[in-house]
Amino acid sequence: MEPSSPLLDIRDLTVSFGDGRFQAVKGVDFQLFSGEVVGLVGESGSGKSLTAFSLMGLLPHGARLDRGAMIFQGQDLVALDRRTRRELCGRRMGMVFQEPLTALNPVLTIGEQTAEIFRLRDGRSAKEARRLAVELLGQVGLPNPERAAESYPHRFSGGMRQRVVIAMALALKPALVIADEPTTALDPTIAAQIVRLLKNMAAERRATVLFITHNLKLLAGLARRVMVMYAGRLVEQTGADFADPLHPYAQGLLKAIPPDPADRSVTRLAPIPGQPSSLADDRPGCPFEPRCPERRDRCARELPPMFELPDGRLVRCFQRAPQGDGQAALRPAAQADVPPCSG
Amino acid sequence: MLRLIEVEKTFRPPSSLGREILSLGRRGRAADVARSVRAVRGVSLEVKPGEILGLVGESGSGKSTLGRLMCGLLPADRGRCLFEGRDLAAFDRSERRRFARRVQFMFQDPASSLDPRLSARAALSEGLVIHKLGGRADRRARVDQLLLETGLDPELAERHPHQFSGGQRQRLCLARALSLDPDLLIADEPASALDVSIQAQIINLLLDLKAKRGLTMVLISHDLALVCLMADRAAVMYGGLLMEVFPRGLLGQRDHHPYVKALWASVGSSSEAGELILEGEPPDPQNPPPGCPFQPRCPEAEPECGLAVPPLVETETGRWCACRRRA
Repeated sequence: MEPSSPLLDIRDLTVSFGDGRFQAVKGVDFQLFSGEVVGLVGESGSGKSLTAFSLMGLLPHGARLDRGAMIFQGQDLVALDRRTRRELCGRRMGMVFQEPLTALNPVLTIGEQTAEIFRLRDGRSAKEARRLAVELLGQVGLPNPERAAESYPHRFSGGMRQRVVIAMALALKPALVIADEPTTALDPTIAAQIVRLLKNMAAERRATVLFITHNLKLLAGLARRVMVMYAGRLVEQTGADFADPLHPYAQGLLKAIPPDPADRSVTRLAPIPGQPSSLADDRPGCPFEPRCPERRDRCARELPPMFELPDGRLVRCFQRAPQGDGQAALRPAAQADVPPCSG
Repeated sequence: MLRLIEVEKTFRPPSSLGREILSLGRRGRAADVARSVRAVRGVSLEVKPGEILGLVGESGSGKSTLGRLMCGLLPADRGRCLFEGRDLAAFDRSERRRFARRVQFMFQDPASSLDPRLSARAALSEGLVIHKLGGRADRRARVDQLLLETGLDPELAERHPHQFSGGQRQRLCLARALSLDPDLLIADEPASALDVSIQAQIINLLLDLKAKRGLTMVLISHDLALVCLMADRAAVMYGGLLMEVFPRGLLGQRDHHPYVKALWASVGSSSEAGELILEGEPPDPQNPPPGCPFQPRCPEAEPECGLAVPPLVETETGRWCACRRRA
């Protein structure tokens, strides 16, 4: 169905804390293709940010990559030595962080830190790097980029800081941009600007975007595909129209957010009962089973595999299995029931 | 129940030393000179008994400051804040005490608004002790009942805040706010620190308790969709001023304030959103633009909009709008 080979192919990615005791990402598989915008949705603790950090090689202290492959433009990032990987990630991947203030260095001017990328990675002269930095700051919509380059991060508003972070992520025209909750710290009217900017900048540079968010509404009209994570696992992968998700968790998420204000028939929200799954939870069955309105006995015993539906959507739920029974699992790699290799 | 008349609040820069530190720019050049922040610039608003009033705005719009003025956490610089006809500033000790019991505030971040050293039971009985309500056994029973009411197991009462999840902590904050049986609850972003699936639990709980206890509520939020779901009336703030006040039923009908239109587009269906992305940034509260605060970003602005702050006028029954073009 997809043309050519994927830009990024993630297989069985598993990340744990505490020497393998707590698995936070449990055998995640997905592919990203050139030029597409893909949404990755999940609540805190679902493993969505850890997936992104694994890609960039930025796993926090205490987290460990247990197994899995991350094949980026034909090279497995896991197998690369540190230097090569650093060079590759710095040049071909860019990341937009959630909190723009902590992503910027407070003691360097905006111009210095933007120019640094061109100097260190592209080997430009200081003067040339500065010229490119100012040009780039103008492209992301900073008014008066010459002056902005002279200023320190604290003088900017959240929205302007996020523009700077986007500029830095896209400076070297990377093939892949990972945006981790880029608008969560911003106000709604500013968030809309930032989403548009990211979309346009990525499209101009033909970059693939992995857009991580917990805000389902943001993805409408932005992402071509949406992946949903719960308790460290992908539970659904669906098309751009997220209005009609398959997995009971994804359906619950959509019902739990306030509807379009024009719809006055809704007077209450429909929450998902219970608490999000915790890291220490290692139940054998479906992680969403305790909160699921459609659970069956089988769900508590056995982890559902990813089922592929005739229309190409993927869902990890026995109740959504294509006709014929759930045994006809189609994604063998997604069955991450093997215990971790180490420990 | 509560009435604000032309209230204003300005935050002044710390001290002359603070000002000096802030003004040390790069290479000795004067950069930031700290100025006063006009957080609330003259707001008149009424909270009617039994209603949920939604206070909507972006960060820096003055909505939280206004919430704090309402419950006397901050004194107003100018204007009056009347609770059942009496000015908050003129309260004597016993009136202030009664007021503190009847009006409760629920903070945005449940983690930082609970004392980490107090157990849930201690936190919930603190108000009862201060106001000398009931004996030891009564308080115990009351706390158990509050926990049940907010969906927590009374068995957990001896636990400390760090042993609860975010959603449970927000339930605790709500239980604490309700412990003195208030008439007015001011909730500042009650769900925004929580995960989506938990947010809905807290919102529904607030709606249930409001109905059950006949509470009056002020809901402060940046989310117009949430406010339109919960509130009977919405008051939209921008740059320290009210832009529009309207009953829920009128949302989306006829001529909204241009800022409300843009906010609506940012939460509504995606097709409209693409066409209505506001340019520019919210006004700098240290240096607000002349005239209407929204004028620099307004797609309908005219030169006259920069001359004077437009007054809030009733454009139809129940709807008040501060826009020259809609007066």
